[in-house]
Amino acid sequence: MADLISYIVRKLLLAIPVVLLATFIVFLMLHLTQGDPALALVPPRHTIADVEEVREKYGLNDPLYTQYGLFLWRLLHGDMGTSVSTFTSVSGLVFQKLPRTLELMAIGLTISYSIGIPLGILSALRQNSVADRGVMVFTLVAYAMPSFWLGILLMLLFAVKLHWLPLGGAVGGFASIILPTVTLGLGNSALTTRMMRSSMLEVMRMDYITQLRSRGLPEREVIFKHGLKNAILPVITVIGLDIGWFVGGAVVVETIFSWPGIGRLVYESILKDDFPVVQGCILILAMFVVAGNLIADILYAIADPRVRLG
Amino acid sequence: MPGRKPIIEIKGLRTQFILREGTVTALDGIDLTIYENESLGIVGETGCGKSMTAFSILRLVPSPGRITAGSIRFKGVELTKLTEDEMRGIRGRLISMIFQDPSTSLDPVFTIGFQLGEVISLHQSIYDEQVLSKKILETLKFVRIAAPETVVKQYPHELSGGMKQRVMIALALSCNPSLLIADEPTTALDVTIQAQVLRLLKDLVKGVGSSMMLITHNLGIVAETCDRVCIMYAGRIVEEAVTLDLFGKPMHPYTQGLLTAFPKLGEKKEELSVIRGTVPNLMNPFPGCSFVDRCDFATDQCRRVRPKMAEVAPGHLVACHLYLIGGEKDNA
Amino acid sequence: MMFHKRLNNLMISWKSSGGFKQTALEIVSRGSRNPMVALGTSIIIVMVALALLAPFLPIADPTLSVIDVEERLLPPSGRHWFGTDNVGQDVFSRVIWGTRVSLTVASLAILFSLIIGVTLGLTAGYFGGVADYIIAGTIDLFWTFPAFLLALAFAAALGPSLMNVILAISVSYWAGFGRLMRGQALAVRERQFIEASRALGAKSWRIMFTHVLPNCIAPLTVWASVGVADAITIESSLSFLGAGTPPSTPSWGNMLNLGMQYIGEAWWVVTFPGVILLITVLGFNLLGDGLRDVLDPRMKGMRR
Repeated sequence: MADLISYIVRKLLLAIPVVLLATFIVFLMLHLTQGDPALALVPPRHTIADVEEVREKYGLNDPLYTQYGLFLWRLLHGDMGTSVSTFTSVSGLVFQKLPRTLELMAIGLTISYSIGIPLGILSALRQNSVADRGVMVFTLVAYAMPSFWLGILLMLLFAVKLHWLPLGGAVGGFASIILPTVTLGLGNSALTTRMMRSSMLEVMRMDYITQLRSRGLPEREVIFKHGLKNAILPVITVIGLDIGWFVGGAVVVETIFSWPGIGRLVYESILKDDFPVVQGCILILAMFVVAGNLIADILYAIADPRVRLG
Repeated sequence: MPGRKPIIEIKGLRTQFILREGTVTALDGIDLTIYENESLGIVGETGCGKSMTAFSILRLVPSPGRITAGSIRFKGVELTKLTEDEMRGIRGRLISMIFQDPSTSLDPVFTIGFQLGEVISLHQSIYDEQVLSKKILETLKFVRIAAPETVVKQYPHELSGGMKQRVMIALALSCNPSLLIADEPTTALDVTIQAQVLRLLKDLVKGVGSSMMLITHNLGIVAETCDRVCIMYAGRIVEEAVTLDLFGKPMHPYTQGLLTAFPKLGEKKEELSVIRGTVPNLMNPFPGCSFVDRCDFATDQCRRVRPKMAEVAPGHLVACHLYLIGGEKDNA
Repeated sequence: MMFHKRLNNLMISWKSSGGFKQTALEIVSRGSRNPMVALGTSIIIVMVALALLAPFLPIADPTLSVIDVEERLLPPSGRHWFGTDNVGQDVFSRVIWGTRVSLTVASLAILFSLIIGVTLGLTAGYFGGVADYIIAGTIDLFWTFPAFLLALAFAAALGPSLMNVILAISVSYWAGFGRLMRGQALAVRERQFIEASRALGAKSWRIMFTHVLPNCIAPLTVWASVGVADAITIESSLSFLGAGTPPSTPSWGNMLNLGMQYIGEAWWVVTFPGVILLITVLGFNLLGDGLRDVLDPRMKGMRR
């Protein structure tokens, strides 16, 4: 148990530089824009005085490292600036929309794993059979399909042509969450299936599997108790990557289905040139990814005792 | 051997791998018998089929391999005709096996105690927690592991090679099998530990009253541990004898080569003697003796006719034309 | 004069260590027997051909400066194979012109990523020490950050333009190549023949080029293939969100963005660009996957 705790602490510490990198990138964004950074932080209708005020407030006349320091300081206090279109606090906006994106991701992940894991196992156990080849084709196509197009297709089919499901928004209750989550889940399931399949194939080739059989264990136990527990480990590590994928996917899918989450917020803010909001969203999304990776690492350490020493 | 009951009788066993490129014959007609309470050594180079014999007995030949001919009788029961379920009843309980590399033979994500418990409760039908834990500790003590209470909670990667191998022995012997197959049990271990583990193996097997089939390429181990020895080459058995007889009077040219190649203590040599040539390709069926290209005494007959195993001295069998009377017609 | 001599020597050592040509030939011969590689390559060739030949093909003008009311939103027909969009532009033609954008952006982006990644990775793996520590740390940081998000951040900041998209993707994607090269360099460094080479007085850069690089051609090709597929996806996603290619340039992402608004009335505007996008990405993925299968060691040898 103690080694698990020290592992978690170590991972938490290692996450800090990544978080800092994220903040730095987001900070840098402001200075990559064309022209005067101050202009990005003022509403479209502004006066010279407004610009000057912003310059003072954000210390834009100071050297870069001071600005960055100020940026971090404000972040620690939960201040991500003010939206130039709605004049509300960015953090307020972001945290309001956060739960909706979390919903999508949670359900999407569940769908992805519910499809991917069984399919991957089936495929591995029946290697090179018709079923296996079918699964491989499915994963290839699903992986190549960009998530936004899948979303559009599903929308075209189910909402426009068949009128079974609503076009978007979060109003329709349960029905409206189906298309966005299925889009995300299906797209990601290709990755999960492949990972599960290759992991399972590798595990079944191991010496200890043959050993277990030579001890007379029923095949069912060999596969599902021992084989699966070992095979699922790499799949757990991929959760971190998956969350990264989902974050990108969420932006796009929320846009298509008008889902009121952070992804949609990013899109609208880009359109409106509402820079502070774009910054805030990207930062939060990056935090998501870091958190996701952490959770994946911890889960992995719980499952695989060998890792805790490393 | 008169008066001794055979545990395993193998006749004409052929195990082949059917690949796209051709068929590889791993075992080409093996005849083998193991008696009660004896240790039989199987010696040969890598790839000669020693492990495949073990897998064939337990019917664990990895696909695309299959037993294509022959019979394996275990205490009178024909193993090749049993169903998978019936086979499972035999594995681990009546016949068990130890693999070569202990670090890859244990499931890394379960504790030692768990894995032992699995096997014991399965074969001895013990489901009571308390009784099971006691049995597990007993088994660990049986293989002379010093602190069984700690080991029970540990994972395989926390143990040393020697300890892992002891656990393997414990797993294999926990149900008093009639036959223990040990596939190169000490090859992956430190030299200093090898002797310990071998002695343990020998003592325990004798103590439990099992027979042992010891697979190795190391003649030294055979001399120490085995009552009888079989020499295998390219999927065939070429010589079989009581250990002392084999070392004292090796008959097959291959055996002679092996023994000379093995440096002995006190012997002075100018250079290491080597058996020239390499192991033949197992994919092409060869009508004659498989050793013919490396043999210093090869004749034309050796190339055409496969020599059959014949008893040349009491308990000493060889498959070599040098010892067969006349030129027997090809019966293969 | 000196340069010539050096280059000559380099070529000689390349050949003797197996080198570039041999590995490349091997890849091609084994690859062509694999169905995935064959299919993938065919698709890629078709797409590249379309991209290169677009200006010369007898297809309609992809961009119209004024809205042609007569031709707006026509369904697929003999005249307009893929129908027309809301401005009256021929979708088929736009799709073909879109290949130019996607392929150019993707290949350039991956090329830059490769150069950055390979250089940094080799340096880190081979020289070790402080350089390795810093570079490896940076690689890890960029590696955990999802490429799309990073690209989005950069693209949003820089504004929609082709060059910006290329830059954004390069910055996000290099870490993969860096990791690969670093691993290879580390592995090779351990090997004895490098010690021997050094003992004979060979310079570090030379060793890297003659020994490390040729061995990496194979995995690099696999990565690059899959990378181009990813880059195409990222670029079209960015364009879809309005942070990628400018609206005037015909790109698949753009078209899908515009098409969304008319999804109720004109299904062809969103379907066809997507199909072509899918096929192109599939092509590169097939190539990458197929090559990976070819280059991986065959099914492990049977047991003794």
